[in-house]
Amino acid sequence: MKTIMVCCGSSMVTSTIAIKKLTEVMKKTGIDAKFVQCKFSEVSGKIESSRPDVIVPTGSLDEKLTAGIPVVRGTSFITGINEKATIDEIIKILSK
Amino acid sequence: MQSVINGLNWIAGLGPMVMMPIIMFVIGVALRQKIGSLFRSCILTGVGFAGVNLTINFFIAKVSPSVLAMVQTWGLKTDIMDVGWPARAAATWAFPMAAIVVFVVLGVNIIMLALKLTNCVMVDFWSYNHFIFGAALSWYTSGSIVVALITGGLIAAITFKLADWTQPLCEEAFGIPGVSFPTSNSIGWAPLAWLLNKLYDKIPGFNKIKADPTSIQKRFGVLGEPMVVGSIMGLGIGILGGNSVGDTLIVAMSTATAMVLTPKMMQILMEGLIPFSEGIKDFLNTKFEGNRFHIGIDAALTIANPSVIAVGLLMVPTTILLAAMVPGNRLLPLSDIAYMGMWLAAWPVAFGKGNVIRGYISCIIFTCIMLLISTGMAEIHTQLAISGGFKLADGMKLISTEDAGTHIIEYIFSIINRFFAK
Repeated sequence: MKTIMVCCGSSMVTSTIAIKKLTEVMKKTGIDAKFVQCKFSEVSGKIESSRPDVIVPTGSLDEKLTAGIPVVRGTSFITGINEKATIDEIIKILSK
Repeated sequence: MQSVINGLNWIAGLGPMVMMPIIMFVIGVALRQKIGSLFRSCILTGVGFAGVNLTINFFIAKVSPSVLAMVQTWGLKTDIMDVGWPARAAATWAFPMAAIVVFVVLGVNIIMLALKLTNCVMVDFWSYNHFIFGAALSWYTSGSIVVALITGGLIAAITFKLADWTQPLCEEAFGIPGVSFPTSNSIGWAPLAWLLNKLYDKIPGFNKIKADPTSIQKRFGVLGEPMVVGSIMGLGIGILGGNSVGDTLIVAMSTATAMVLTPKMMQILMEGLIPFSEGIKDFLNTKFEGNRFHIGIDAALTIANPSVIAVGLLMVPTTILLAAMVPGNRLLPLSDIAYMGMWLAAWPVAFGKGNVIRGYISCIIFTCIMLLISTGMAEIHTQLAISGGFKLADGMKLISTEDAGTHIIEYIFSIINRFFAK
């Protein structure tokens, strides 16, 4: 079981869009994953309790806050441009 | 025209839980969504809406008596309760003309792109709610559907121009290339933020000060978590309202509950809207492709910036003080308090190149204005909320949100449009 942390400003709008997309991708690739949805400002507090394998912020998150956990920026899920590169990168990290 | 109005009134009379799916279905068919998945999404939107209503009504019922008691006991002026931005957004989507405004804005964007008046491709369907809110406000002040729709379109046009102007900053300050933030209640503050920053550059001594955002986040980090802020503020209101120990704890827990559950309900509403946002995104992205264009997305992404978070955290206690001190303010900041400071900090921080002190001072000025706009909008906000199915507790006359007060362009238009009232 992999854990994907998806975060945005409000934990309501853009992160929901990204999770919906990633849920489809995980189903298609057969990766067993669960999601943690939170705000940018909650990331450093939630890392310890949820231990994510990868963090997908929809905006540009400061990597100092992520305790060495790989970060793949998910802005493409919102703009609709170059989604495939983002998806490939996430899958590569999760299948390690 | 009359039969259209009658039809809309009939749909509105069924209540937002039923009306939302119907309106979304109409938009979906127009955007050529598949009927099967469209049907599911529409119902989900209605469910999310009912969920937001349930939690906000719970919050108002449990907490507002203590707010009223606190205001009376201490002779406070802050008698308007802040019920949180999800309530404002949900009531906005339930505005009977929401669907029409969506197409007006989409039309304005396409025409402006075709005539090269803007480079902003507005794919963020969610943020259309701010244009709908602008149209709704002007509908309440002018009573004219035509004025409301024109206003919605004008606000959109102004927002796209502001997005063009600030686009180069987006990559520099927020680290996201190729995008802009045409979210009108964020970008509407950009001109003022720019002006203030020019002013700071001129102040000798002050223009040299720098501040580090990470230490602030370490010290105030807990203020970024709405649940904790909610329980503390609830506790404060319970005590100041003269409740027994037991009732005070109930008020504290009810506030924390609203802070945690409202976003969950909003996520459901949002999930229902995704097919529409995908539809508009695909449509615009295939029509307008190339280097000239930047993609307009939700300004909520600005909040990833560490300086924005730091200023927002400082604003939590500051906003409470300002609410008590600003003459003319009647809003009691509550639900939105952990979020709106960060929201308003975006442009001051961007123009100030991440400077926390500059961001904080600009944010104080913005918050004073925001509080007064929230107070000024309370009457219309309350009407919009009631027609959106929210229930006020006994003795509670007005509600508003900090979020409503961030709609500075919309507010200016609603005042101007009073002159068109019949």
